[in-house]
This record gives sequence, structure tokens and C-alpha cells, in this order.
Amino acid sequence: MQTEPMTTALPLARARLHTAKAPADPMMSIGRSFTLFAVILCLAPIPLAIAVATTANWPLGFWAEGFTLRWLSEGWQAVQPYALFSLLTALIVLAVDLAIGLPASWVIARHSFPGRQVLTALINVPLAVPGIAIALSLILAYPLARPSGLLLVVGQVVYTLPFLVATLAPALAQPDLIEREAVAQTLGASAIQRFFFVTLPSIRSAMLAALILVFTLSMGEFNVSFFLFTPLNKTLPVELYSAYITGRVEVAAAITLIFLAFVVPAAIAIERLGGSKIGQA
Amino acid sequence: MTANPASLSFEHISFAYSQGRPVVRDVCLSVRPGEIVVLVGPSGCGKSTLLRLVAGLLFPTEGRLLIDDADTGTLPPEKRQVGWVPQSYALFEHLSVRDNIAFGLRMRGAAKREIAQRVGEMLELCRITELADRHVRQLSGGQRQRVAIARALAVSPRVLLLDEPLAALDPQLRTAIRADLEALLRASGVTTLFVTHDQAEAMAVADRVAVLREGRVEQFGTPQMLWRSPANAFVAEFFGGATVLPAERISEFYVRIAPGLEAPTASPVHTARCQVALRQSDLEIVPQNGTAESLAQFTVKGSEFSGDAFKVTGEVAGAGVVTLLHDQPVVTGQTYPVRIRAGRALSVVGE
Repeated sequence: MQTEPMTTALPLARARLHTAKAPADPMMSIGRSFTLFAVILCLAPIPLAIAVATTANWPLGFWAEGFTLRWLSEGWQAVQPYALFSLLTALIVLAVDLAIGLPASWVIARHSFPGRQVLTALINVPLAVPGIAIALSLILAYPLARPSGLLLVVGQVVYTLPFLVATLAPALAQPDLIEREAVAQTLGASAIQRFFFVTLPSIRSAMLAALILVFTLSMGEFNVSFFLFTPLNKTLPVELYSAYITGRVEVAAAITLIFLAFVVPAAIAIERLGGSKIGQA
Repeated sequence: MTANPASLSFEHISFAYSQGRPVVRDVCLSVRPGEIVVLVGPSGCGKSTLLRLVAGLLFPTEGRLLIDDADTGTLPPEKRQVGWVPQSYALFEHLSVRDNIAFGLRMRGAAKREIAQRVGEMLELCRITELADRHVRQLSGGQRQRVAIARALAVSPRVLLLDEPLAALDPQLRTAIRADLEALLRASGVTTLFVTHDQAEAMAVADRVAVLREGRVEQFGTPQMLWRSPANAFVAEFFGGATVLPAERISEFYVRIAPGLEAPTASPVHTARCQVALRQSDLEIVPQNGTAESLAQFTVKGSEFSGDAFKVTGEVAGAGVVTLLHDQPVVTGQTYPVRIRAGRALSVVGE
């Protein structure tokens, strides 16, 4: 009687051990280690930047001559005007994108007309064209608009608009949404009422995702901005570049952190809103 | 009580998308106030298009659409006061049940008290009062259907359009929900156009049925009329579930379908040759006891058990392939004598 539980428990434990080992597929474990390696490779610069930005004298090594917040404070003072300028630029780009992109997405999603494919392709062209090419062609075409900072906005709009349309157009093309709008119409809702009470609430998450995406792209945009900035109209990434080229590495690292503080929360928000929806054209 | 039922008529309505074949051809129908008319037909027959034409989501290319004798064919949907419930129900997923029902009244700028009262009435009529504050995402198929109908009825539509209202539900629930739905439509008194591809549903719900095929109305009448005197072979087969066979006149009320298979008819036959509708329950296998030589021969091709009886498919020599019901299992390939069941009179099919 006493030994019986032992004899049944033992093979059971052995069996469990065996089944636990069974799915250990060598490809799986190679894949897993590779992924881990890639993640470390990608994320390592961030703690490193934190270390550099808080080390009093980086060329001598980690926290050589002690921990300091001096570089962060210096960095902030150096970039503050540019950060605010970037923020303002991003908001203007956002407004212009929405004003052009929402109607454009609507037309692409809801109407079939000769040339629809061409229009879609045209909006997406900037995705394939390097930012430098966009910027140079804008400078060549509208040299007079450059000093006012207008070209900077135009360049960023050209660059970000495809992302907005690629996010909004599929949301607007949903057959369910179109049917709901039709029901609202039979219930007596005018075109404006349908837009605000049916369409907008239905595409809310796509809309938010698109807006945050455009905002982050604009905040981080370098290629176009580098060619279009003027001393008075300089964005944060461009200033970050000059800090790196001209100043101390610790300050550049500090500015990098400040820059990340602007962009990372937005990126997290996109992920929360279902980032997978973006770009499903 | 809750609706202001209107009459509805289609006068030679045709519709075609800008390029392509007409989807609706020369449809003439008139629906009386408060009547439930079912449009039935196979998919692609234009029945849903007819609903969209009445709702104003599409405009007829030809013909006139009258609601209460006023030409409505060119009015936009928001001006028609016609309720449309699509097959998906298209509920506003971001709103509660109550807000879904209140939607139309809010859009029309109704007073708050009026909205609250009307929504209360609709909740009660559709027996969903206890669901009022639920989110529509939390509802079952049958509940969603009721919310969609309540939402459409809340604005006192002159006509209610239901597009396959039962298609999205579980087959087990469909019959019960169908009876509830009919009771609800009767209680509201609204003029209803109801689209389905299921003839049993049409028969159960309709005051009158219009059978559609390829955009045309094949026959319009009460379910009994369509069942007893189908206008053509399509109506007999699609709506009546019958097999249409050619027959030869013997006397005014008697025809021969095949050698040894003779039958009385439900209406007089005037021509030498005609077509009759043969239903599953019309034909029977004769118990074999030697007297069967002169009867028509039925060769079994297959059978399936359907609970009450076996559904046996086979060929009657000289007539064609038919289905009959038999209470015993039969042997595939074997031949049995058959006759028309006593007391049966076959429907004569129009040409």
C-alpha cells in the first residue's frame, strides 16, 4: 500500500519530463537566441546614451569623474528653441496633412473614377523618393519660399502624407462603415451629421494612429529638413546633428535622450492603438 | 400604433449600374398600407436592389416609385422616411442600445423628452428594455436584429425594408425568431418589404409574395395562390418546391404524366398538353401485391433519411426524375410501382 503511490508517481514524473523536452526544436532555439541578440543589438544604444549623457568625462570611461546631470541641462538649454520649433512644425504639418489627406483618403476609398490608381500612386511616390531628392527639387522649384520656413513644412508634408492616406483610406473603405452610413442616412442624418456621428467615431483609432504617426515622423524627419532648414528655422534632429558634429559627445547624447522623450511616448501610443493597422493599403 | 403605414408602388421600375446588365427590369408591384410583402428569389435576382431603390440608396433608371401616391423616386434617403435594415444590421458599434434607437430622432432634432419616450416605446415593442444600456457589441444575433428594427421603427417610417433579417442567425433559432419578428411587425402595423431567399420563410411571414428572377417579377400574390397555381415552372420549382413535368390532357380535370401515372388536377386543363407541379408528398410507392403491373415504374437512384420518412429520388419511366417520401427503406437501383396519393390534385403550371 505504501509503495503504490511511489510507483505510479515516478513514471508520471518521467513522462512529464519527457514531454517537456519534446518540443525543444533546434531551429526554434536558434531563432530565439537570434531574436534576443537582435533586440539587444537594437536597444543597447539607449542605456549607453543614458550612460554617456550622465558621465562627467566620457572619454575616460563609464561615469569617469562622477555622475552628472550637467550635460542634460546644457543639452536642453541648447535645443530648447529648436525643440519648440520642431513641435510647432509638427503641429502645422499635422494640420496640413489632415486638410489634404482626409479628403484624399475619402476620394480614394469611396469613389472609383478613371485615374484613381494614378492618384494613389502619385500620393505614394514620395515613399520611394529619397528625402534629399524631395528637398533639392523643392529648393530648385521654389527658392523664394525657403527663408520663411514654408518649404520645410511643404517638404515634411510631402514626406508624411502617404503614411496618413495609407492609414485612413483602408479604414474609410470598410464595407461595414459604408453600410452604417447608409443606415444613418435613411434615419435622416445629413452628410455632416453622418461624418461626425458615424464615420469619425468608427475610424477613431485609425485616425489617432495616423495623426500620431505623422507627428512622430515630422518630429524625427532629418533628410528633408537638413536641406531645407535656415538658421531661423531649424528642427531638433538637425540641431542634434550639429551638436554631434561640433560639440561634446556627452551633450549630443543628452540631446538624443531629450529627443527620444518626445518621440517614444507617441510610438508607444501608436502601438497601443493597433499599429498593425498602419499602412494596410 | 407606432408607424404611419403608407402604400408603396413600383411602376415599371428598372435599374442598371452605369455600365452593365439591368439588375431590375420593369418591376410593377403595389403594396397596401400595413401589408407585409416578401420578395423571394435566388441570389442575384435583384431583391436587395429593390430595397435599396425604395430606401433611396439607389435611383431607378426608369419608372416611378410612389409612396402614398407621391413620386419618391428622386428624393434622397434622408428625406424619404423609409426604414432600412440591412442583412448585417449595421448597428452603430460605438453606441449603446438606447443611443442606437435614439439616433434617428436625435438627427432630426427631436426634443429630449420626446426621444426618451419614443425610445422607451420601441424598447418595449421589441422587448429589449432590459438591454437598453448594454453596448451593442455585447448582444446576440437575435438581440442585434431587434435593436436594428427598433432603431428603424423609432422614426415612424412609412415603409420598413428588411434585407434577409434572419440570415445571420443560427438555424436552430431561426424559426422561433421568425415568429417573434412577424408578431412584432404586425404589432407595429408598418408597411413592410421583406427580402429572403428562403421560400419557407416567405410563406410563413407574408401577406403577399413576389417571386423574382433575374430582376423580373415572375408572380405576385398570396402564398396560397403561388402554391396552388404557380404562374410558371420557375415559381412552381423555386417557391413550391415541386418538380414540373409535362402532362397530357385526358379530361378537364385529369391528366396523364406517364404511362400508368394519371392524376386529377386542381384547376381545369384546356390544352392537349400542359405542365403540372409534382410535390414530394404527391407520389407514393404502391405496396407490391401483384396488382401493380399497369402502374408507372419508379427506379430508385438514391434516398436519404429525414426523420419522418425517407426522401427517395428516382426516375419515373417516361416522365423524369422526381422525389417522393416513403416510410420504409428502399433499395437503390430497384424498380417500384408508383401512383398519385389518393385525394391529391396536382397544380397546373402556367406557361
